[in-house]
Amino acid sequence: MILPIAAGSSSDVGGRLVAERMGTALGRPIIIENVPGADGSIGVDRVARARPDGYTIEFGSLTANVLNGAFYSLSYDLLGDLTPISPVAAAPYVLYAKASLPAKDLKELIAWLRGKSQQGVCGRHRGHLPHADGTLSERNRDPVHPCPLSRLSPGNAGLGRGSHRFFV
Amino acid sequence: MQDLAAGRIDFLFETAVQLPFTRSGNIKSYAVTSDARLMQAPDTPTFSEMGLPSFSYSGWTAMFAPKNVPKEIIDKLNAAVVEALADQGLRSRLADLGLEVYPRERQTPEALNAQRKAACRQMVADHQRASAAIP
Repeated sequence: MILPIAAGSSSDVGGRLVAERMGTALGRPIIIENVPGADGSIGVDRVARARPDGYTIEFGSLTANVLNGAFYSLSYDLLGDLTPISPVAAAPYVLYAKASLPAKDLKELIAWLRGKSQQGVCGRHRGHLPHADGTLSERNRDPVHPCPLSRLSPGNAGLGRGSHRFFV
Repeated sequence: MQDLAAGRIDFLFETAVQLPFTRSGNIKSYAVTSDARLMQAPDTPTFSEMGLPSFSYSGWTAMFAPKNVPKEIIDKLNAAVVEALADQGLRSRLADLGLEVYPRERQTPEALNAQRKAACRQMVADHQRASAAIP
């Protein structure tokens, strides 16, 4: 199973858990290979070119298997070169804010953004649901300043699990 | 997320895997993009509840094979995914990672094909809307 992401992210851990349980169902273990890079398009390319015997599969995602079509000139056909097996899980998003923001709920947040003389700063991952924060900007006639961040690094997974507070 | 905790940025869209951070007191959550509230954050409303239904939007994970894999092999792999996802222990561990397993009736190759095509259409529509918004 190709995971087109770096080891240690939450999707990586999720893919490994599913692979382990699938291995039990199939009666043989599934070997994981992380093929990160170019937001997953290198790993998807490997799967698209693999021998079609069922021994190479991909734990894909909205980012790797759809959104990359908007960011890259791909060497494969996103729809034509990959055969669907099954959806696995939805990954909804949460709007997090620093605790010191005065707004108590979303309506107050929007009012706060509209009333502010300066822009609010919204962290943004490229290829990472640009839809949502973009829409928020639009609705508020752009009082939101996007702050580009690097893609999730394995250290973030540790942050998420609470195993460490900060990483460099 | 560390920039948010330190107050260098004001807010951030991230998956539910970061929810345990809200217990630290440095970070709070305003709303979730799922259709229903998350089990891990029962006090955080959905965007729909707050009057913004256009924010019902999630990333997803899915299983793919190369093209031209025979249908009987796809069916066998699909059956293995279905069996794995029926495991309550696995579902609960995935939920902790912010991954909400789709219901059994969605766990088909046809459903994934429809899902990725719908996502492609949405992407093109968003791109056109964003391009039109640039003066």
